[in-house]
Amino acid sequence: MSIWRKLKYLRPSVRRTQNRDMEEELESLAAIAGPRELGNITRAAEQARAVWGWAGVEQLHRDLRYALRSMRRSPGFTITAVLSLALGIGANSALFSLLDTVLLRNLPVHDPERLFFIENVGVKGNPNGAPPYPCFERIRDETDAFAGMAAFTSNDLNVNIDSNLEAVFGQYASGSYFEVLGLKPFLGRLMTAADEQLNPPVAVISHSYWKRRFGGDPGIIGKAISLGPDNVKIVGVTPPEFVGIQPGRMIDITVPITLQNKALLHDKGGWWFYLVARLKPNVSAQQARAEVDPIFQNFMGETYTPLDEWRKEFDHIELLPASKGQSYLRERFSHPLLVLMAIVGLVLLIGCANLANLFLARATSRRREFAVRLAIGAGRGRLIRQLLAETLLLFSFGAASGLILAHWGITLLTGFFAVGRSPVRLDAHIDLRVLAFTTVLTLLSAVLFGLAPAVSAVRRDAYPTLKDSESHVTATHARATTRQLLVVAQVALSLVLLVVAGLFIRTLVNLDKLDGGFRPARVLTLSVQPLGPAYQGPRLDAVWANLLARVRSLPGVRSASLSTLTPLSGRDSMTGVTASGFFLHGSQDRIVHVNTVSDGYFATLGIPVLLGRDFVSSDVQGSPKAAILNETAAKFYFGDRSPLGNTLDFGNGLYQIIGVVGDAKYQSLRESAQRFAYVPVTQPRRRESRLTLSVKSYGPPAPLLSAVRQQTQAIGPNILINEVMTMQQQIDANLVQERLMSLLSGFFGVLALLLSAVGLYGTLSQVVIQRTSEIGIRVALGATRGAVVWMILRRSLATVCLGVVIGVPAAFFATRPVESLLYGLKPTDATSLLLGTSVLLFTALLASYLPARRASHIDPTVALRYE
Amino acid sequence: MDLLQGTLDMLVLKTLILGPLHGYGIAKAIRGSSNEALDIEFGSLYPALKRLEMKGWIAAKWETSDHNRRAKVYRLTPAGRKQLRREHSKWTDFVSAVAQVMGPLGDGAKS
Repeated sequence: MSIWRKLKYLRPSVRRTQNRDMEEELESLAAIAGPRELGNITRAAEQARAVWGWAGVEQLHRDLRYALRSMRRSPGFTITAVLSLALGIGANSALFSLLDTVLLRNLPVHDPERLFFIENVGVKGNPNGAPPYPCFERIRDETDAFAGMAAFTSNDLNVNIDSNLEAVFGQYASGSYFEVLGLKPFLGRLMTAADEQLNPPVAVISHSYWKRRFGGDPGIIGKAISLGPDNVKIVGVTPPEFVGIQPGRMIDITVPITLQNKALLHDKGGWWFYLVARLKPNVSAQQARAEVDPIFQNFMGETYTPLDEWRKEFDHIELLPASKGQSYLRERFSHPLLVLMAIVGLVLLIGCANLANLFLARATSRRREFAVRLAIGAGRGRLIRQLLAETLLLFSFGAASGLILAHWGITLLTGFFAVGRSPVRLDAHIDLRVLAFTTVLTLLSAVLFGLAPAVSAVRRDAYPTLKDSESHVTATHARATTRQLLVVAQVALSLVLLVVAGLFIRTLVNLDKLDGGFRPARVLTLSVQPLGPAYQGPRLDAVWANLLARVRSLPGVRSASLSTLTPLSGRDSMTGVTASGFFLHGSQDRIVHVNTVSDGYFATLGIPVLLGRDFVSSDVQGSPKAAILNETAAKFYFGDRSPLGNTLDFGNGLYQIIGVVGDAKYQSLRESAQRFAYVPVTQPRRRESRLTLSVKSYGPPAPLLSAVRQQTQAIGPNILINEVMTMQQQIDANLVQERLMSLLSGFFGVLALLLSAVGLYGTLSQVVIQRTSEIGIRVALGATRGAVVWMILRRSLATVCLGVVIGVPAAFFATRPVESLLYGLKPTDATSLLLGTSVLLFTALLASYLPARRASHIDPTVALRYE
Repeated sequence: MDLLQGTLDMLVLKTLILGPLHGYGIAKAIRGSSNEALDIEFGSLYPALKRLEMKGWIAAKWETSDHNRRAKVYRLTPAGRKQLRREHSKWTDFVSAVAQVMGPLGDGAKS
């Protein structure tokens, strides 16, 4: 039988014609043969139709139509089921998409498995970037194992496009960068090794930047823009899937690394970039490492003496796989994301338990329908196949709605990350992998939770059902127990989720209340950078003095100051210092963080001066150099003695310690106390070309912004203002992870609670219905309303208590992995547990109230006649 | 008597070798030529006809009989003839093989 002929019969029009023909034939034969001669003609026709094949498809079509009809007939069930599914599957898909971007997705480059990062690794195994540039050059020239190597480092760059100064996410990279990655240009061409000659200097922009800033204009090729003093020509656009080698950091512009400060390129002591290399085919990472490490060790031996002090940070070379892209994102967010994934997984389970309950209830009420169909000869397999079609259809609707929700969820979540000083731009979207994940998830839940209960209704006990009333005990008892167990499971899981939410919310509250050592209220910060050759030397100093004077003169400004660092800015600066009279135990003892500040800094930021004095305007060039220590540094270097009068040596002359201030948190709210030294901006270790202006206002700080901007730009041309933020926004950005976890875990905790409440309500209602006649009898025999309510409530309480009893140890167990995300509390925090339990009990009571009330209003005369 | 599907197909093909027939006629022919031993249910015969038609061994055509009655009449196709020859030889081989194994019943009991 040819496949073509079989395929022909798939078309409904062909089947229809054939059917008609067959009917005609059978009619004619019946006329010829006489009545009853031919026996069961219908069966004959049916068998004949089966010969055409594709009976399955026809059946499926019919089943689906029937399923749609029955879904429409019970809208309540359908909507509840689809909604629960949409929420559960949607949340899971959204989180999976995020996880995929952060953890799983490979770089869209050619053969990413052959790409490796060449990193120094300290004695403890911590990777630290690439060795200094001269060492890189040696490795490049003297090894044989690599097909190509490229250095790269990302920087905030300021470019001048058509006389507009703009800030972009830039990257300095070796000319071979794109070759090593194996990328093809989307437009124009990409950088090559020859471009390092800067003849002329070129730039390559990213696809998203091209679309965003230039509107996708193909005329961009050849456009000249300027980067500081250099003019660069845009020569190409990278493909849209490529955003940079670090997921989360989307690079806008790449320029040759040779545009960097020449001094850096020759600096044997500068560790400032990363190195990516592609292995030659047939070379293993081990072999390559064996070639690179000796060169590195030689270089270190020449440059650093004594070597041992540096071993802690720079011990040997390791080759780390680059295929997922080196990512601080992964380190920072993988743990919280996995926790969130677990949470939404649990929510899905709870939702599915509800669905299972719904299906069980529905199956119970359809017992008669199935019994009748079985009685008139429907095959059991046929009925099961129909149930399968119904279940799959319902779950497909749920999954489809879920994907729409997921899309919104992803947009919301990525928006959450994309704020703050260093926004994390995630390229998460719904793609094939997410779809595959969603499909598998849907199928699994459909089979486990939708089909199993439905199939159990189509069982051997069909015949007895036809004769029985609703209260047929033995058939429904098993099902009732299952439903109750499902509710118990839901309660337990909800408790776990509520406790987790409580933990995260309390963490956020703890961190929010935390004293960062400064007063963030009404403080505005902005980064000021005078650009161009005009601002050098004393002219630059004058700018800073001018700026402070102008801003301070504005009405509404309480105080203003300049500094290289502000608390929680994410910037840091460290150096080595020798404190007089302090005995060094190791070179690590010399390390302090340094903040170069103007006078009034501590007043503006609300950092208390504990001893001595603040810098004043007379601490200028010419006067003795003054320095201030923070409390931790003072205690470290001078113990209980007063440090005032002692000196600090940063390597450019001695600074006299004139004051001690309180500790402030500069990197993160969670950090432990660090040693800080402050030097005046008028007596700096080196001239700063960019400073942060902090302004404390009497009223809300935002209205002052335009005035401050005006004053700043009025000083002269080409003054770049950047990173405008209030201190409170800074704190929020620092707490983005905690805020995210609290928000999401809280949301899902409440969702889980609601779902369980619905489940509890549903089962109780069912119980009331089932025991209607019993209740009627009791009431008739004199039971009070209260007694009936208590009878129902007792049932509910038993279920909930069992759930809580299981849930509490489950919570203890489940919250252990989140310990590192918490602050100021342990995972076994009693308050969160108590709060979670009380919320749960309260909600359960609420959910039980309505069915119990309904039970108490049962009219015995009606109930006793109820079948 | 119960028949295997393949055997029924073979019988139908053989029946048509003498000339075209409609569905009912085929049933009567088989009954007749087996001396009433094989009374094929129409419900089994009709699907078999459709099967054979799909396989291309028989072809059907609407014809008007002498009593002015319309009926779908089936006839053997050349491919059908070839198939019949094949089936026939397979069948005779099968029958002789079974007969050899069975032989006469040597236990003295009357069959």
